[in-house]
Amino acid sequence: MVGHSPALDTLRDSIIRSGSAFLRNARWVPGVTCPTCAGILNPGFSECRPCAERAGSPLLADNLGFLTYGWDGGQAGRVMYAYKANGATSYQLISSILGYAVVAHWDCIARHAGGHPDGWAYVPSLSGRQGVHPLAQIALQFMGSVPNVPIIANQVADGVRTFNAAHFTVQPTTARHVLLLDDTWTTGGHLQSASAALKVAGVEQVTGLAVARWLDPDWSTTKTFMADLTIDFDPALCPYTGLPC
Amino acid sequence: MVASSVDYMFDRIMRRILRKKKHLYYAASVSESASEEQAELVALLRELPGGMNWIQIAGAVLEHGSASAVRAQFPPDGLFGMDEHESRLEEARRDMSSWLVDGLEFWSIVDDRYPARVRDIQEAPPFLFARGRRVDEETAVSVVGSRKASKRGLHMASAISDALVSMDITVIAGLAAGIDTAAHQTALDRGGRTVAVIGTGINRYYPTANRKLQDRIADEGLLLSQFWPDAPPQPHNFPMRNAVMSGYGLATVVVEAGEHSGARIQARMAVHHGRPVILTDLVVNSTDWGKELLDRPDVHVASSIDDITAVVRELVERPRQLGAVLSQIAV
Repeated sequence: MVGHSPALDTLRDSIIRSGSAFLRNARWVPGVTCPTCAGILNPGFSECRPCAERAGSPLLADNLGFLTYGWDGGQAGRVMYAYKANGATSYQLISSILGYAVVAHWDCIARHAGGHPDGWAYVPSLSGRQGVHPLAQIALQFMGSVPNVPIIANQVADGVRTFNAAHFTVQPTTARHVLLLDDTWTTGGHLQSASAALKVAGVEQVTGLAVARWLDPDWSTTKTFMADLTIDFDPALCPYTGLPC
Repeated sequence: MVASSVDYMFDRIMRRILRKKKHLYYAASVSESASEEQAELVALLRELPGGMNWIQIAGAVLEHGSASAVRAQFPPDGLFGMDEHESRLEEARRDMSSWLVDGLEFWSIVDDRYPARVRDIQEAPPFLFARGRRVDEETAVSVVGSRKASKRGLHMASAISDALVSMDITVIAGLAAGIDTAAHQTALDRGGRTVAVIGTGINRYYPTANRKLQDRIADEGLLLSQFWPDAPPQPHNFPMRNAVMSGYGLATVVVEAGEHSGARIQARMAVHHGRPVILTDLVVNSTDWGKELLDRPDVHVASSIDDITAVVRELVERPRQLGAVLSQIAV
């Protein structure tokens, strides 16, 4: 069940007013989207290529959630850039959808993973950006007493999108189940490498949550899929299943 | 004007800009001096590397933090590529200084002066030219509608504009004939603030009948254009301009519009931007699109000035209320 409180219900109404017209819930459709990352499948395949290539590693996130699809040139895509580049309304919208997803769907994490997280982390940028990551700033507002597990980005020699725990450093931690937040998932290399680094540091379970599953509209299969994304965003749908919870 | 006085003026203006220049919060790269970065953007928009269009360039500059960072993504074409880029930069620097001398402000999408709310929309232009007085994060509402407005429509536009002014809200319109003109004119006459987003270059007057009004807005309010300063009116400019109006304001009020009015385009864009739309009952009763739009999120219908002010009052309160709600939720 999605969480309810007067504040959460007000927040949901606000998200529906300001974001539902252009945000689109991630969907898990057999034969159409990847069962792991909700990305669009090549016709005839049952997994997307990056997820298939990483499959079997014990260091991957155990559960993954996504809030919305986004793409270059679209309004959802714009919001994903503008919230960290001095936009005005984007920051509040990302705060709203991420806050709602974490807090209202907190018990959904426990249902899938067998317990609530006892730590949270965010995937730091690998491109050398400085300063507090806006996603961390947002998450700090609603993570309550759950402690942050710092992840440090390293110099990357083999391409930022490859799956490699060495892209990040995590100090040994007592957290056993970490909620790992990211803003956009393109191939999943960032989030999965960060998950791997957490597990190398002793974390047993990782629940990943990315705000936007990025799509490439230049690809015809994706374009067809995007044309069918006509249903308005509903924050009450589960980020981990795409269904009512 | 002799060259030395132009140089002097240019230096003075540049120094003022450089003094004000703040570094972008969380910018992807170290920002260059404002003027050089703006020249890079102008050169990029004339070069269109990789077949990018202006909106894509605007998005890329926002993503990478600067025009030079976007430029760096593209290797120079052929043997003379760098020379060509250098000569384009040189041309851009010359244009920048002449625009400054003409009293035009140039805001790139990553400048602090570029309206933050416009950055939030997918059609955000790579730059805005401005004349007049900029107000940081002002509360503004678009008042739009037909060029061929009825007497009743014009009366309503004036009354709405008047009500917004009395709420200390800036009136945005597109300086078109009809509803837009009535909205701007009333705001100025009532001593309120008005912003015009025009569909031509900032040096052009279209329609010519609004020449005086345009000059008055540049003097007393703010005039914005997303096109090169001498760009003529072209049909595709106007929807682009409507997108910026939707972005700039808190909401869009459509006063009177036909089935195929430009105001319809702005109303649909505003919905897609997640921005509230207020339709008068005149619009809802007389158009199919108005009726259909009522099913979309945050679209309101108003049958009186009181209805409009009630909705606007609620909209003004929203960011504070949302902030309060966000501070109450935690795991």
